[in-house]
Amino acid sequence: MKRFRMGVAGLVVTTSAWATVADDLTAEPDTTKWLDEVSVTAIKQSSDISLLPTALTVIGESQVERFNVLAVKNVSEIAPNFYIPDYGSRMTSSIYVRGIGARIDQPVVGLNIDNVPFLNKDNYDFDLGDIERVEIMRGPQSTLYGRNTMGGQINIYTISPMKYQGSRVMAETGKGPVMRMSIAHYEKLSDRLAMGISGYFNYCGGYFTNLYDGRKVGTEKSGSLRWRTEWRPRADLSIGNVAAFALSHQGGYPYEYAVSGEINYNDTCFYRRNGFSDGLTVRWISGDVSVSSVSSVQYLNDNMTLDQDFLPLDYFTLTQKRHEWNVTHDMVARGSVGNYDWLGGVFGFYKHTSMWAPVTFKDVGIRRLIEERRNEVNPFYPITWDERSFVLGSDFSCPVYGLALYHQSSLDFGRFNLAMGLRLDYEHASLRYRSHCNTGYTIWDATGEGDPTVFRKEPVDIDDTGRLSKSFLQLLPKLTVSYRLPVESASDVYMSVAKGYKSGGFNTQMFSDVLQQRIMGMMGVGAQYDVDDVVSYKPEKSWNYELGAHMTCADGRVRTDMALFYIDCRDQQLTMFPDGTTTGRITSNAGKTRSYGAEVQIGYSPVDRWSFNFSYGYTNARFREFFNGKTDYSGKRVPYAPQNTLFADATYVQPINRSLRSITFNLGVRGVGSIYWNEENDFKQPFYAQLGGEMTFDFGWLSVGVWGENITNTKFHTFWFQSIGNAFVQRGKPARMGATVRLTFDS
Amino acid sequence: MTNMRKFEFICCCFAALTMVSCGGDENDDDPVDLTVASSPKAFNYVTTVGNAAGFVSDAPRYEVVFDNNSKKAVVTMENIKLSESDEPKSYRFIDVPWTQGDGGKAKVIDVKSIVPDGYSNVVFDELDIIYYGEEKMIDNVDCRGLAVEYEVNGTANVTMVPYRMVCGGTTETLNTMTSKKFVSTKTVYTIDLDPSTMTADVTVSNASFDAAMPALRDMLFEDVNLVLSDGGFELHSPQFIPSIAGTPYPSYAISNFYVDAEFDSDMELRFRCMKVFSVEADLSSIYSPVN
Repeated sequence: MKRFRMGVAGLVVTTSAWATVADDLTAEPDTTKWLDEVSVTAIKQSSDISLLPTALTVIGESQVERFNVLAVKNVSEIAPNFYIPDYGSRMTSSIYVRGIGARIDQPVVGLNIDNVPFLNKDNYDFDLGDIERVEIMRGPQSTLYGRNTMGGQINIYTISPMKYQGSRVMAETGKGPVMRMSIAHYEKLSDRLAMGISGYFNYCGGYFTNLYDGRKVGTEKSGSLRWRTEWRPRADLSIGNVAAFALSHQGGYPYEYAVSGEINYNDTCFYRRNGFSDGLTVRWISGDVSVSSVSSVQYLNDNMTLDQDFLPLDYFTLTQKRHEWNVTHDMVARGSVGNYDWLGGVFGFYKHTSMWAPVTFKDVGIRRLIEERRNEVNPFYPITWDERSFVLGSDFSCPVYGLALYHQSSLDFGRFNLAMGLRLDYEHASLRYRSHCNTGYTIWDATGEGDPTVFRKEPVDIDDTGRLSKSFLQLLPKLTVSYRLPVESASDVYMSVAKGYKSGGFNTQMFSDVLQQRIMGMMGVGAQYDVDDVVSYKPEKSWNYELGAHMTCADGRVRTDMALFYIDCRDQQLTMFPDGTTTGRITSNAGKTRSYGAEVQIGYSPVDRWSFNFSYGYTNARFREFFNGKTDYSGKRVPYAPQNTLFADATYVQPINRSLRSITFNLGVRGVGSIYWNEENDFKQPFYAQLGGEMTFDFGWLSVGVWGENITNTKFHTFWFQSIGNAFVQRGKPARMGATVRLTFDS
Repeated sequence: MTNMRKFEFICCCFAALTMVSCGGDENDDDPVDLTVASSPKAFNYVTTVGNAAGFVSDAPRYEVVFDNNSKKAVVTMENIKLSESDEPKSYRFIDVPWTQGDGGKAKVIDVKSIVPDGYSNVVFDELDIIYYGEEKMIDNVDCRGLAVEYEVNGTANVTMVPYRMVCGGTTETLNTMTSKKFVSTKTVYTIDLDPSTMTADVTVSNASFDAAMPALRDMLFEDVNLVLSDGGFELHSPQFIPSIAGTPYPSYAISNFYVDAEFDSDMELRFRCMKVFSVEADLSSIYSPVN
């Protein structure tokens, strides 16, 4: 859920000289809190991340609270050219960065939470209480972070019990209704051992109604538990472990039929997910050398059940049940000799997914999609299906493993810094599948003058099994040059060239098409698909060229980050029609796109009570080549990628007295668009903006805030898609108001 | 190369090596490079002087071993009948010269007046063999192309006729109502000949006569009339209903179906579908599935 509040200085990279709001005036700035030796950023990158030669947005702790950032979705638009549409369910986290994004399978942005790399983008969207910091790096991060970071990398850190001790409670309610609660306790058990435990619960009653049964859709109940341990047995050794368990249950998808504007469907829709993760980080530092080990295990168990047609008709339903295990290990060694810094690492992972994805064809679907299509071609020998409901079964087992070696060298030449990195990434993916269907139909002879007679009864008994496997080997280089400007405050300009990579694999969603075409083929119509051609896809690659600057001036009261970029993307994974035919669809590496644009982030705090933040991103992303077997889309804009993102806010803190310490006023706006919804570019969401605000009463240990989101009730769509030729959209959330109470008991 | 040819090649290499090590002459230095062509399942169509109709002789076997260095070939024919009353015989020709044809894609034998080994009273007035040996996948079927035709003693003309041919090429369809043309290079015609009934079945794969036409599975044109001739054949049928997946499709009625094939060159195919689509195809008729 997008939570929007006005914060003090959360949008941009801040420096040690950055001023914060009244309640943080005496606290250390957020940057110093970033120098956490168990953070993957510190493990892999320079300690002064504000000067990294990359486009970076950091949302520090105070900003996390003011914007109430609870999930990855909440940082959408705060970082320029970074967009996560809020639609569907927690499974649909389609992140778009600088014109690059993915709706299916592999993500384009990596996600680490407390050093645990999440390999499956279907598991990216969940709420986290007590986020301490969010880092959004834009541009390929493949050299250091590996596969599926072609668009960037998101690192989220929760509060460390070694740095903060106390208890925190949050309770929130708002229109929906929406209710959230979190409770956390952090304690140092000794000088060397600290633990934190937190729990979070979220309830949403749904903003929209399904006309078919009058029930709310977009409902949710979710919760999570997190247990964090930090142990420093010796001065040179630190060990951190984070175990987390999360579950969520969402009801219905609020997709409305584009023609009628109604949400109206008759079959069950829900998304249920349980997950567990554990990440262990061990870091040893000796002089200028450090060796870190980050290991993780994750388990995902989810069930997505959809009324696939989203109409009040019995077409078909889809269920996708999955069990997935991931194990990762990253070993990094770093050191420096004089003005030379080096880093080398080994990363390995194993992922195993078991999935059951039956599609149930129902009466109307059988009639309109099978019988009528077939009988149109041969009305003299029409068919009737023997049942009015049957199942296309698809079972999969998909093990994937990979190994990568990487290295980065960095050299300072006076004010210049030259860094080169290279990663060798190997991955092997297999897919064992079983497609099965047991049904039948009758062929009638209607050539005679009387009633049709039975020509033949035809059973449909399919039980196909097979195995596919692919291996991918990639070299992922990166070169950066930066120049530290001759000013007192931290400022630099940089140039970078980097290769990005999104791994290949298998699109299991295509199996229902394969099976459907097989059944149609038994009746004489339909394309003949080669499973490997239809389901397999190769890696997608890109080259990213970037010129940027980080500037601080006016004693740190003005912070500006700018970037110009050009991205050349090849072998883009797109949906298209098989060669020479006009029916059916396959996933293929068919496209080349190019994307260029600019980004700016400005933070300004003229005096301690005032702060302003602004970020804007522009992207022009188009297909250079894309012929889908039917239509040439060269020159068209890439769908789902916004052309503009905008974020602006203003905050004023008014001190009051000893009891009521201050009242904070926030006002801000988020904007995004235009977004084209299809390759033809004939449907789009124009640019729109949402206004939000909050007034917070701070009593020290207690704070009470009243807030409003989308105050002007802007109408917009967050998503568009087509199913069986019908267009559907999801509306953005309407105007909402609410209140949040926070209790903080510091030790 | 087939496994057999690889084995022969390796054996030949080993033999050559041993000869070298034993101090063989300098001609043994070149490795043996052979290409072996074997006939598909086929029958011979034989016409004889003085007989209006030819006859069919079943199960002949042809093998041609091309020496790619010397440009000479060994041709072996087995189970050959030159007249209906004859007993089947075998013939072998050695040192038959051959050349590259069709831009290097084919091996061509075109000789006159050649006598097989061990025979003095049999003269092959003409011996024409064309072989396309590179692996060729036509609609996922592994095919090779071999055409054999010869004339013996001025009296008998023999044409090797494969039972099955897989014919790809260019199919052009004219919509006679809109005058729009549609071209497909994906459509493949598999022709199965039945000399016992003098009919043929034609299976049309990837049939596509119009861009808007739904994709169809294999269309079967059954029991089309077959006429054999020296070096080729014709198919024709005035009208019939094709079937798809075992079901007749009257809406795709075929009329004026005609095929004219020469084994050593192209094949012309034409018909009209649904009385609207006029289909013409230029195809290659030399390819047969590898057994």
